[in-house]
Amino acid sequence: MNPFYIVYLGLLFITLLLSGYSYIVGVKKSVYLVLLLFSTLAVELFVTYKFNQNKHFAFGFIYHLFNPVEYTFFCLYYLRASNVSKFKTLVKYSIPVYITLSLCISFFIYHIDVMPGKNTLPAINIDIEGFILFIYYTHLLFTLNIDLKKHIYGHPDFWISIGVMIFYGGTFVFLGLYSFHFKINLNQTLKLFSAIDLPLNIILYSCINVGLIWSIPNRKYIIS
Amino acid sequence: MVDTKQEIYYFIIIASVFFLLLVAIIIITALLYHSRKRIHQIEVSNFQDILLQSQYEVQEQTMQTIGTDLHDNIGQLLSLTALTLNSIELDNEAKSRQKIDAAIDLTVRSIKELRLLGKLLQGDQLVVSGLPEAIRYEITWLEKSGKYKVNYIDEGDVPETNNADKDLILFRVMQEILNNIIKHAQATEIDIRLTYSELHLQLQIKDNGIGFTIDEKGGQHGMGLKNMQKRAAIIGGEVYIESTPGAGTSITIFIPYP
Repeated sequence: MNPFYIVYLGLLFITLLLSGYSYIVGVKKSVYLVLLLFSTLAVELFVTYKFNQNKHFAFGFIYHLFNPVEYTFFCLYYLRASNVSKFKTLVKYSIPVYITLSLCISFFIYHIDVMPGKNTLPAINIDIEGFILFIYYTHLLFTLNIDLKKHIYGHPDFWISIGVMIFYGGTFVFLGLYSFHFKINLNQTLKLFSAIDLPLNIILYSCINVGLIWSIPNRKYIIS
Repeated sequence: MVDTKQEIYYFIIIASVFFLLLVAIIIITALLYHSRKRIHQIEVSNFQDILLQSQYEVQEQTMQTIGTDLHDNIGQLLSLTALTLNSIELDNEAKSRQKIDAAIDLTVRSIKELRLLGKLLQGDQLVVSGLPEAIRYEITWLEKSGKYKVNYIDEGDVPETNNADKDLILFRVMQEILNNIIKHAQATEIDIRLTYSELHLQLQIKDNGIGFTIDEKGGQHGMGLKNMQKRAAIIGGEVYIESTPGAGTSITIFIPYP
């Protein structure tokens, strides 16, 4: 197994624990990260398990189904983090629109209900999702409410925003050309996947981790 | 020769790096934006602090003036009225009439002084009626002490400003300068000149006191001057100080106006 993949899964698990802790100590918006990370980890573990059992297991369709779920949770987190009401309305309505669009792409372009479409990766879906989330989280980054006494690096949403921006910005071209490149050069596509997608995933979860650590309220007790 | 497959491979790497650089630029821009926003917020917060402090100090100064005036002026007038009324001998009608007239005169003067004092009670509201008027009013109280000859010149039509906060801070700086003259300068003559031209307001306060060496910036003296400069800077102004030991001091404040 690719060492990057093991690091990625480990980091994903740590992020899930941290987001759960953050929710328990009172950061209510972390619940969307808990749900997102839990579903991500469940999908990754299921795919890894099934793939290890049967190397011919067609796992692509799972990512097609997971994609709208991922978009929804990222949007719900944005809705709790942002304070610009006009933009929030737009994001709110974009959720059902995106779910419909993503499923249409999966069924009518990739044909995930039959082989070989069942084994494709939702590259177009992720590209569209990434483009939209990139805009949302760039907006969040610029509209963060920073306390005068604190620095921007201490704001949890700063890290979550830059994590999302780096991940989706970095994978945009690779995923855009994924299907085409996969057909003409399988080995190089897998090589690029290890070189681009996995490290950027690690950066994404590392950033979310830093953000979650900052989000945990710092309580100091004075014992007299 | 590089084939198409390789070209696409390199294209993906280069384009991904390019996109990551773009992300980095956006993040740096956001950091700069927040940094500027933070500086602006700090400036606004400082301005509000200084404004609040100035309001408080102007009110405190007003209370001090009222206290002094009640004790030295109105108090004296009323004591004199009481004395005059006490000394009336009812069997001497002509003399009594004279003393009653004097008591009435003293009472009228007291009422006049009280009215003036009532106006002063408005404190920082005084500045709302316009800076030249507020300065004139302040000078009236200074002249009343009888210790100083004050010459006040108001040149150019000072336009009305929507930003009364600017007036208030400038007024407080002027009060601070006058206080310093009273406390330290041993002056007998004070010249105050308020000039407005080319969107700038200039307030010059000169005295014929003992002066000081400008290099001596230590202690409370230096703190006071720095405080004045800080307040002027917050409304975009500058303070110039000229002083020679034995030859008095001149302080000029320039502020963009209105």
